[in-house]
Amino acid sequence: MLPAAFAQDLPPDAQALQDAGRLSVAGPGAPPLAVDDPRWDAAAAARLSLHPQIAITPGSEPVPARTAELRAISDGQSIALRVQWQDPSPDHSDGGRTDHFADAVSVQFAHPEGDGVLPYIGMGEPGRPVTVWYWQAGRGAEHLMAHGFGSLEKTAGTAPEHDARHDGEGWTVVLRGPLADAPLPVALAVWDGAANQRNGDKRLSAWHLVHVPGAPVERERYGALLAQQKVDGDPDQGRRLFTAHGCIGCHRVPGGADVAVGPDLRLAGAHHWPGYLRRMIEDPSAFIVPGKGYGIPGADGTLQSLMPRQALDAEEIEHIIAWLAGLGEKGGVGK
Amino acid sequence: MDRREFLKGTGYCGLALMFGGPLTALAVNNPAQAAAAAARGDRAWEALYREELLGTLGDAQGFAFHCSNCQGNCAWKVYARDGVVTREEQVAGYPQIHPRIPDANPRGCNKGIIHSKEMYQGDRLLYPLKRGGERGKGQWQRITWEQAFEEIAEKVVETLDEKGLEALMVYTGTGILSQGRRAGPLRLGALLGAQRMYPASAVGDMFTGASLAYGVTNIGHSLDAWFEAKTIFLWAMNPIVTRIPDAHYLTEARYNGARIYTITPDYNPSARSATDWVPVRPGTDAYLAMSLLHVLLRDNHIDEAFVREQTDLPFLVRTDTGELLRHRDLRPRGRDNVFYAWDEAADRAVPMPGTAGHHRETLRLGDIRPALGGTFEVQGRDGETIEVTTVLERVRAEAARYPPEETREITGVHPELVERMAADLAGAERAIINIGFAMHKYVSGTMTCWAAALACALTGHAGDRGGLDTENNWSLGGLGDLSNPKPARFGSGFFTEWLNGDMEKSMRRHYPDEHLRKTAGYDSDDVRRHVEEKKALGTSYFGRPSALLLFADNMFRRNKDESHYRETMLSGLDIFVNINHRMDSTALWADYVLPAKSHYESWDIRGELGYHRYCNITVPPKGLAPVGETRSEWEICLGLARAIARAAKQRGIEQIADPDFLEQEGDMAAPVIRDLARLEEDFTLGGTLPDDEAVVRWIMENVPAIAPWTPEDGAKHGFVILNEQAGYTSPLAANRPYYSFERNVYLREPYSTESGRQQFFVDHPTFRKLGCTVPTAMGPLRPPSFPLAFYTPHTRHGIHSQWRGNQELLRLQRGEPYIWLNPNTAAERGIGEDDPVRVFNDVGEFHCKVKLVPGVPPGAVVMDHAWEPYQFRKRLGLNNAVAGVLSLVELVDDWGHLTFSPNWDGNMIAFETSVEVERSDGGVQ
Amino acid sequence: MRQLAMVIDLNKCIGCQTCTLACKSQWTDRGGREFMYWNHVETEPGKGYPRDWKNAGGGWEGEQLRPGRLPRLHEDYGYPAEFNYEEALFEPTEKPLRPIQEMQWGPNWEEDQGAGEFPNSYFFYLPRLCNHCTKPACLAACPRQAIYKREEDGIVLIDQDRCRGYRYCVAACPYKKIYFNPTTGMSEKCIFCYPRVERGTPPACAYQCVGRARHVSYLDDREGPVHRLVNEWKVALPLLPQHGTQPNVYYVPPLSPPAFDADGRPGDKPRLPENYLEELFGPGVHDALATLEAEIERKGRGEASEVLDILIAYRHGDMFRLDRGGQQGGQGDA
Repeated sequence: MLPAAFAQDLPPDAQALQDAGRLSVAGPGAPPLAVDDPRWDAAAAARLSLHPQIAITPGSEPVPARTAELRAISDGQSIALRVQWQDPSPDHSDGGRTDHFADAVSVQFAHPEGDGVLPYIGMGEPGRPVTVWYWQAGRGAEHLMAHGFGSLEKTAGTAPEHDARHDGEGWTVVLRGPLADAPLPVALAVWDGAANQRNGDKRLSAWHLVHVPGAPVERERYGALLAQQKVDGDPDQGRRLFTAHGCIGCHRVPGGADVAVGPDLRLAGAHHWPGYLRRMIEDPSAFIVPGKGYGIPGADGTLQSLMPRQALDAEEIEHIIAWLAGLGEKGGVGK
Repeated sequence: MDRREFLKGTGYCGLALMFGGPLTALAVNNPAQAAAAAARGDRAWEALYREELLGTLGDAQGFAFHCSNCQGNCAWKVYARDGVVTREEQVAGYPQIHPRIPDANPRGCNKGIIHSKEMYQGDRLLYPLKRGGERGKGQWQRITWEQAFEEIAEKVVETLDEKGLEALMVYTGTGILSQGRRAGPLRLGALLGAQRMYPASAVGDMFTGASLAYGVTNIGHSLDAWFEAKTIFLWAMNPIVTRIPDAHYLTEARYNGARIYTITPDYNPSARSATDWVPVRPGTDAYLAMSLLHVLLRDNHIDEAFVREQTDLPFLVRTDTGELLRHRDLRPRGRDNVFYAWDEAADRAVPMPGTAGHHRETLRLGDIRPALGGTFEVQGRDGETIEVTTVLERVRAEAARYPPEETREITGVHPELVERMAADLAGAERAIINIGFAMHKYVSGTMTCWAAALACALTGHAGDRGGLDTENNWSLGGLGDLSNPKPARFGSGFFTEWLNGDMEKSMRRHYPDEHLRKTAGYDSDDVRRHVEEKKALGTSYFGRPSALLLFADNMFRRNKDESHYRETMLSGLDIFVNINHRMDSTALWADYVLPAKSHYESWDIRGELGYHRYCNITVPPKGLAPVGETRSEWEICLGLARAIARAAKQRGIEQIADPDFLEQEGDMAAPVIRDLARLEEDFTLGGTLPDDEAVVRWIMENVPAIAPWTPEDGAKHGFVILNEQAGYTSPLAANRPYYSFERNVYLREPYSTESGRQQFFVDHPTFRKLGCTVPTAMGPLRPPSFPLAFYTPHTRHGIHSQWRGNQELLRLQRGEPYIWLNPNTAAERGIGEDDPVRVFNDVGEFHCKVKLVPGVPPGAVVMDHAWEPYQFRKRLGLNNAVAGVLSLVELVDDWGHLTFSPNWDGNMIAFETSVEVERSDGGVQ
Repeated sequence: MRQLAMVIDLNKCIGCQTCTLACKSQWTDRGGREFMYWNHVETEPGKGYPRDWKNAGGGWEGEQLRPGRLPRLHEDYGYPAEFNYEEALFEPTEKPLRPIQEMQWGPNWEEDQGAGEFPNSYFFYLPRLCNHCTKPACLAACPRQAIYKREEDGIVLIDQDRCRGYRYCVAACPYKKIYFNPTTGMSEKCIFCYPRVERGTPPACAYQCVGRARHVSYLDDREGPVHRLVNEWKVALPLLPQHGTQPNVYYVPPLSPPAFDADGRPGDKPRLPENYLEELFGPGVHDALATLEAEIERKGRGEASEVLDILIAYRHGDMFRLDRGGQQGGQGDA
């Protein structure tokens, strides 16, 4: 439930997103830096499922999902985000070790300007870049930009301030920076150093919206977001269509073969909003994860997806999306 | 076909289904990406490493070499930034001497290349130190240079005044062998009449076998001559490790078709680079050498013309006394040093020209045709008949005792290998036998080396046909006025150390007399007797010093029965001053430690003792910041000279007459005057030699072998080229490698021996008593009371103890000392790889780690020598388990060319000790 | 793409480590690289450096990358030991001079050990650096495309602006010649001294090789020593070619003195077992060794041998041809 005082801020579409568990509201006031600042207690806690990134190599093993608790406090100028997650062994990068990886967390911010379409969850995409606040145990925080897997770059942006604590059970990390750098849609990723996690080998949430009270509200944007959230099809039909159209020959799905021509979709629903799935089926070449061999140069030199446009009508597409959107929903990788 | 091509143009979904499995673990990226990435435009980041390169190149450049006891002598560029050395790199600009001889570039090794690290390392001495507590307890007080000079000078003057000049020892060890930096302490010591030892002998680097044969201890070729040789013996030598800058001439010689025999007990790096390895058991080389002679003589591999003219092999030996036939045997009041051969042409004994006492100073035989063999009769001075035979007959008889089939039991070398060695030596137009410094670490080394010289003589290998090599030796000349302005008390090295360190104790403890008599032909009492005789001569020993100014010498590391040596030496010292660039195992025990500059920090020059013809110059990079308060040896000696003059004046002893040395004054011989009051003026040559740069300039202007090069030439290139006058027994020709004895072989100048020839017969009573008037086999001496032979060859990671504590080099080893054991020898003792062990015998013990090396012979303990004692548990170094034995032959003195001089002194015997090894559960800390 | 390549003559390598330290003082004595040896020399046979690298995976299996292990700092590379100089030498103590942390391994840990039974033991020195492969597994493994091969010289570089220290490249390199820099959090490796090469000076390890064992020239430079030794005379071979990365550092295989028979007589078989050399350098090693031996015999008879003259290298500068015009190179001043 939203605190009543702020409910008036929210357009109705936003309320619907909140009901779907895809939106939470930041607490008001000066954003604290310390992980144990008492003001965090008053901020609403969103619980985000972090599923292993298995779609793209190098990725994670299909390990169980973890839950992270996300709290935000913003005064409209800057924002502090506090992430808490379970990880009993603190792994630092400052041990000078060569075979060891550090625990880390990142907050990825989308910039859904223009058409309000959410970027690809895996580090954005060309034309839809993301900003990343990245914190690594022992190494501190960085401000990064990306437009797709493999494109992460350090930018001129100031690194966020940070505070972190490991209490024996898990990490609590606060990242604080200017709100301008933190548009609302966020996604979390955590890396477990003990499991040698780094790069695409991580646990990752789907896009989640943080509403900042008092921040200007663009109704259109919420409308667009809501449209990307909606799905209206029959999962069972979707599953059949997926097989019938040969998709199963390239994408790994529960019950399918161990294939990797295209991204592994066993957790498609856990990471993607339906809108993204719709976009990719309708126009596979609209975005191709670079460097993974999913695209081949076309006659005009631009990269074309290996995946052809399918002879599917809109209804059939909705069925497939409905089925995919359910994958990983229960918090695990189906067989 | 890669995956992309495979997918192209197919109904890929269906096909991919079939091939789904194998594609799972597909490469993250495909090779096409390589091309795409290579064409990338964004390479601005590459500036990162470019800037780092510029950083190492610094803002100033100088030249240097590393003048410790390494004869490599390599020119380096030294880069510095903001006064700090950033890096060094070989000059690599030496000109090629001939198109068919590989050039000498790039000279310089793993030690030189990290000297800039050593220079700023934690063991560097930065300030003058004075001990606070007891000696060796590590309680240091930092003092000023002025205080140091004043207190030291006070004590020095007191010593000279109260105990005599000989009570002061000013000794410069082998940590400095450059002509520039060495000049200061030599000059100061000579002016004061202080005693100094002969370093080559003190460290055990005399080739007494070569001295016997040639009257010269260091002879040989420049190392580029290896390239021209067709047969090379590397005997007791490991040049792949110890002659790094010249090792390429060996590997290139192999490609040039040379047969290279490495004769060593272990399969060392030079053995692996050779065509043949001769695995001789430790210390049995003399037997192998005698078998080599056996085969050469048996198969008549004799270059008769050479032997008749250039050797004493045709000289006549009396069969009754076993002595050479001398002029005095035939004529009343005849000379001692005129010898005879049997002239086949005239059928009579004739005095040989060129012998020490003969008026004809040439080897030319004229009409004489000396007989090589036979028994003859001559009439003695009293009319008696004397039966004589030739030296060669004696040599034949001796060599006949050592057929390779029989010596095999001792040496472990298969006869076929000996036969092949002999054939290759005799058959090669140019052959070289290199004798390593390890050879004379055995008592038998003298004989092995002498026999090897004989093998070269029989086969005519001398001059540009090659021959024996005991490390070539330039003769720069012209340095005397700089380093010896007045006579110094120049003493024997090995002898002084043995006496000063009371090493007799360990000899008696380790070698039972019966065993010594059996293996060496003498016992401890014989040694004692000969020591006393040599001492009585008074020519090579000046007594234990009570004041010691020690420059760049690690005597407490080097000497045998280590701890006892140190305690004995220290007990006699009223003052011990150590001048060094780093804290070594000897400086730890000093009363005063004075911090010296090291290789890059002052002007210096080195042209002598090289394997090549390049004379290197050190010119520090401009603006180089001093390291701490370090001063050069010259500056330190100047400070001392000034302070000694002041202290002497205060004490009222401005001059000391030194009647041990006389100088001519008009018609009178007058004692040399040690003019303490004028010490500063004398030291600086009336103010003309104020600093190191002036010294280098003086050397370049006064050494004939350097002409016509100027200091400016040196400063421009980092080196100059020595001219033909640098050669010692041959001229140094500009366009070919250097070989020894060309003056003798081609110009027929007599050799520096009593016989005037390559000499293979010595009838000194000791030689007769030991049965070694001609080369023979002996040894090894190591007693059976401990089962393992212990020997300590040179390491590639240090020049003796220099760089032994270097961090960069220790990281390329194991960080601490270890012995090498054959895996079976170790297993028999329950010892495994990297285990801590105790190495012990009745002399002492030390602790270290173990490295299992299959190339080490069973029954041996091998250790890279010269680890610093302070790298061992309780600071007990490896010489705690080495006994101080002497060779009786090397104690011979006052006989022809076997009279104490730089060409005749002895060695500290290092490899004749036995040990046992056991696991040390106490660890190595 | 042109390819600058190197031939290392294992008969001229004397194991002196001058190259190791030339490289170290040029690049790796600072900034978290202290433990790295972009170039080092190890004794073969042995576990090598990093320890057991030959069994650490990586390389290609057909068109797929083989998985690989990440070496550990202390156990596999060896920690860059610091020593207690101050304590041991300037303070009242009996403690020896030692690494503050005990060494467990190092780049030259097995120096001169080798294998075999006395007197038929054997070893040789194997200098190793990044092979600047034609088909680099590291490049393929990097998810960020931070690794690339330069068009002008084929040098493989890790973009220090792009690297995120994921170390897939470290695992993928079958030679384990990429190092993770714990200080910068990025991976680094031999850069074939491109800043020197661009100034006309050969890589430090080659130019400063006192054994004169290393030749550097473009693979397609027909006058260059590398082309002649690799392509014409075929006496230089890549190390472990079965990994499929197509290395551009080639080795002249080692000769050795003969082994002794049971009676101690020197036989006619080299002591380095030929099947062992084949494992390292592929089947071409037999012909390469036969060529060398035949040519050495010719030289011994006083005949000419082009290939040996190249290997002898009468002038240091002849070993290097860096300028693309194909003129005399390598005499440049760093």
